[in-house]
Amino acid sequence: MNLVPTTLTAEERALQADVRAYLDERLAPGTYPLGLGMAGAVDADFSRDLGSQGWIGMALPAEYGGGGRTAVERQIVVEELLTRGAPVGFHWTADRQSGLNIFHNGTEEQRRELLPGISRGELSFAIGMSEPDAGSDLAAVRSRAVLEDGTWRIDGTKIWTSNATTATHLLCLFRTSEGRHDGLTQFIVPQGTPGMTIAPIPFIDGTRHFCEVSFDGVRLPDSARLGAVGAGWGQNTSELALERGGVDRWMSMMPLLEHWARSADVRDSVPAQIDLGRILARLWVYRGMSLSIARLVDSGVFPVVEAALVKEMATQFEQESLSLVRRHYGRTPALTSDDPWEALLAQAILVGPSWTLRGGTTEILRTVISKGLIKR
Amino acid sequence: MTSDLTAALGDFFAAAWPTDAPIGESGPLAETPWPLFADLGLHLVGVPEDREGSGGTFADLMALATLAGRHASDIPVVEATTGAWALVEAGLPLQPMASISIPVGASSLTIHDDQTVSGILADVPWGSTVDLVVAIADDGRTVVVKARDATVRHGVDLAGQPRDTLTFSQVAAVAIGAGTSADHVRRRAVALRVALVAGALQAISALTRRYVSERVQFGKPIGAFQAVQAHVVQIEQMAVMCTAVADRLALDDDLKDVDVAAAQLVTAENALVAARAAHQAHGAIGMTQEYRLQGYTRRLHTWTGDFGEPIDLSRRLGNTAAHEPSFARLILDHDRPELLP
Repeated sequence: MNLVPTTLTAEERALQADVRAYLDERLAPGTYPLGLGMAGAVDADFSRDLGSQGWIGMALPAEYGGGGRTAVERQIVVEELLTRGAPVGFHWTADRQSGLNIFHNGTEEQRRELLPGISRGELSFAIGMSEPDAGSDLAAVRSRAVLEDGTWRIDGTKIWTSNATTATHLLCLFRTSEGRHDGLTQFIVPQGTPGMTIAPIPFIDGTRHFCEVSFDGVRLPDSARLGAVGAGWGQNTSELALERGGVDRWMSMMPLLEHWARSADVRDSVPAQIDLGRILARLWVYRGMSLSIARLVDSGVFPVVEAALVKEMATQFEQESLSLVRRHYGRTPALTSDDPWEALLAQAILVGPSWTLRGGTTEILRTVISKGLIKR
Repeated sequence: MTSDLTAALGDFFAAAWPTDAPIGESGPLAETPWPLFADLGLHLVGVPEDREGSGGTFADLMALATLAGRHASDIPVVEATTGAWALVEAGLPLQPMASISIPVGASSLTIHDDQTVSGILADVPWGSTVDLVVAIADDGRTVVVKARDATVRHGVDLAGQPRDTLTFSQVAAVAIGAGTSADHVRRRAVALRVALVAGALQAISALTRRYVSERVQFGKPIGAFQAVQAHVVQIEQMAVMCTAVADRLALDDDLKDVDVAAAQLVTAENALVAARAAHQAHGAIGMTQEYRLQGYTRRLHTWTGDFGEPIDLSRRLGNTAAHEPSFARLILDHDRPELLP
């Protein structure tokens, strides 16, 4: 396994400077709710503003309203957003994976209908994968789509779906036949579809983005199907490469680190400097690896195993850096603190365990890597 | 690198350091494959041809070091090529046939008015059996001395390779020059050692994958157990990560202090993690000198143990970050600040 090293071109650095200048103004400190990486707040206005800059759907072709740019350029934008703990929740999933999935597997009609809205930051996607009895073992999905008189009848339950209440669309995996892997198909379900009920499940920190989604005799036209019948597993796997290989897997802590590094807590403390230096060294390496993966994506490769390999390490290091920061805090931070940074640290402590779960647990990733190594 | 160079040298390394034989203890330079290595001019890769070197880019040299690490080569690849480079940087003439080493331990060397030198060069790999030692004197000048002019205290590193401490007492220097610094020599040597480690981790990963697929316990290859697979995955991660770091440093021979410090820290940590996991996956056989693993893991300790305390490097990186306007930019930006003390 080899990741070719790369650096940013002059054009890419110019983009980086543009994004920084824009966000410094648009997201002035104190004017927005701080978030932890991809779990940033949902703010449709911000997403629309970002879309109008051309910074959502950047890797989608221009003919579908996308930026016609590269995975590396998208990474540059995302790095700046996550550094600031920006409210990326509304557009995050659509920008990272749903848009590309629709582009690669959707019909011409689906592309024209959905991709421009994604790039404008007007559409928000949530992902319906897990079920009560199908978490890591995704092929155990039982929610069923049955073709009756030319329309699909959907029954079943999806669970642990982030931001389902605020999404405009859900991209779901349903069982269309008995084949463990080839019996799964993806569908796009618009918000408000009759028979679909979304109920928030209070998250560990009291937030309510996590949802259970029930389908009770939901009727969908065949035009809601994404990709061929039975192709859902493969599409889902490709999506996971995008979901796992990005900088969001080591940037959850970045707003906190950015704040902490400049504080007197670090400036005046040698032990804190030692821990910060250790974090810096490792993040510098992960950043290089993410950039190499983005270049691979731009060369037409879906680096599934490489993405799993980086995510497995990087997400554990996110948790380790949280532990390192915590041991200089000296008291229990409060979730309700008036100091937004203290509240963010408290939130990180509570939600930190999710970093090595979402998008594939550490254990599942090890299996993916292990199988990948045997094949090579 | 150039995968071209790796391909061209693959046969030489396979013959000199076969990968199917145990890794033995090292001896004097003349008893190692060094003469063949030097005959090919490999000890002068990275030194321009118009300065009597063998040419090649810094990336070529990093690739050579990676290859040496992969084969657990028992010669001072890093020390010889760094010494030759430092000497030429200092404007001094190269003796192409001479073998060169550098001190990797704390050293102190005084240049007297009559151009003789006195002092101690600590931990010079193969120090008593090379021809020349290149060192930076206390006044910052570059000094070349003959190893045979020294009083020698013999030593070995954790991998059983010679690393001698040389004491000089008013001996005539072969040459004295200026134009490089202890800091530049250290950066280059550290970068090359990162490449050695990357190569060794690649080999350890391959060795472990093979072993767990062949070793049968409880009626199946131990690699079928998830607990063992976790070790295999971790070793490969460390190898991929170190290789990525080495390749990144190889992009530009104008090595930045911040990058070298980060690379050194991460590499040292990864090497230990991989060594521990590889021994755990191998069990008892890995602890014997009949099996190759120990030859690699012992070298990892040697190759990551010098050039400063990791904890002080962490502190300096942290101190640097604390004085920058943005922590994130230290990770994301092309421009690199100086590493603060």
